[in-house]
Amino acid sequence: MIEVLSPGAWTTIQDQGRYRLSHLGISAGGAADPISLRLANLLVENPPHAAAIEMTAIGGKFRFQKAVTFALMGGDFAPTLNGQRIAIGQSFLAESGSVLELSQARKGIRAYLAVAGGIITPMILGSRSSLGLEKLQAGDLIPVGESKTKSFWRTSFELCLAPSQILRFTEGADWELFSADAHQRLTSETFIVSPQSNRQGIRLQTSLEGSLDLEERLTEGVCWGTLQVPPSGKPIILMNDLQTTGGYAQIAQVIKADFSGLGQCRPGCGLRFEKISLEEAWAEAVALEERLKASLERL
Amino acid sequence: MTPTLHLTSERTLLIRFSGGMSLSNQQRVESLMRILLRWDSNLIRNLHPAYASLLVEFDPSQMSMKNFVEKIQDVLNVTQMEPRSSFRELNVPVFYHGEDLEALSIELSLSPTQIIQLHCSTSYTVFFLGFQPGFPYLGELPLALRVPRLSTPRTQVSAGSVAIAGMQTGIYPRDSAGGWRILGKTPIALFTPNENPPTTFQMGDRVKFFPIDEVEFNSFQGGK
Repeated sequence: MIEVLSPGAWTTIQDQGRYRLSHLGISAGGAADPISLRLANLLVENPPHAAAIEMTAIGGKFRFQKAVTFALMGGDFAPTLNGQRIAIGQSFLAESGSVLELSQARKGIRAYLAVAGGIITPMILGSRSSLGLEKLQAGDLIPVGESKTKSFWRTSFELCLAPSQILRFTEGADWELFSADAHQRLTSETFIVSPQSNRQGIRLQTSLEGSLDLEERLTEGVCWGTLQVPPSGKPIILMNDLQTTGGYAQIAQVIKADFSGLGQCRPGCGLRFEKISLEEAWAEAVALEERLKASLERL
Repeated sequence: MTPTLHLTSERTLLIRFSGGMSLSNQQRVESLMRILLRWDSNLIRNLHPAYASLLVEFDPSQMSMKNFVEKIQDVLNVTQMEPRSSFRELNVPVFYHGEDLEALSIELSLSPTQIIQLHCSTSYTVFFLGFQPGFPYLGELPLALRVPRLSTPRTQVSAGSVAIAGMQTGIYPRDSAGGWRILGKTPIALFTPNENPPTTFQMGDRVKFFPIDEVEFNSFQGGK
């Protein structure tokens, strides 16, 4: 068991989320930075679908009730184990009774704590991910699965945690409804991330206004990475806890290989957008998978 | 009438039918969705139906984009989108005392009783589920009840709220923000994650509302 001494600002259990339920209005959920979750699991020799603890902006404080191998991946929350600073992106053994503490995010905004054997809270609809409402509380006891992990690992993978990021996109469903001017501005201006961003969507403060007569339109399906433009002209990039359908014009779709950056961008971050082809988007997804595996080194 | 296919990313295909919101489009979207739900679950990752479109999330490591588009095109070319011969019919109790009933009465020049009678006068079709787990998009609303949504959405709409907007009526499965006009509240649960299926309504169901009073509402909730 892991005992939650202090939960932090917004701490949830997350895995890769739910699939094949969108037609019932149930969104995918899952880790907001899927690359960090993936790496954290690899570092403790867990399968990719294992669940971990996701922290946002302010980390939590945890006591390991029995000895366990764990790893942190994601943003830099200045983590300590029994008061000693430890590295991110590396697996460690925590002795029984050890206390892991994360403070405020210094770089990025989300951190993942994976433990060997995974978190084994009950599955709901095929996933252990929060359905959007349940946060961890002080005093919670989180069950951990059995593990046979023998080795310790480190990753050299460099996450995109900078205060400015480039997100690559493909043309959205309504790309052609937007003017050439809007296309040009989307790919040339810097868009600032609003503090109103969360696991449902990243709201941008910079406007694409004047680009489209944004009348109410017929609701259509939307998914993770969809860049919507509401009547205010200020785009919203949809995240994992999104609504499954939406009524705003869809200008772009951020590529999956850049979802980690979406999960790590903080309020005030400057985002720039770069258009690529479908073939390039697929090549990036394949290359990312290779880079993840190649980044691991046995200690 | 040929649907258009848009690859919006290397893993998402949007299929749009022409003609907007209609019962025939509802049947086209639903039959295509049911066909794709029977395909390999590793290939079809998620389906997002709407009034006249279906967004398909697929796994391009299982099948190339080009082959996937061709396969969908084949289905659209050869498959008869057969209208369903039978529907589930559900009757939904509503305690009509919603926040917007008074204001709507003035705006629509109808008494609250007339609004309730009109809302209960039609059998609605579940066009699709979306927005939130188990939220049914029901239509079409009688002409006399059509009003735009609130210009500023409420930050708090309680679970079970029965509301209208444009040609649509719907029910909020859980507490959330929302911009539709609230007529009343139903005591029935719409999203039960530990049951199978987890949602009370399914696409294509027929729904009728009937009025209940406060005592019935409370006893229904207590007896659940």
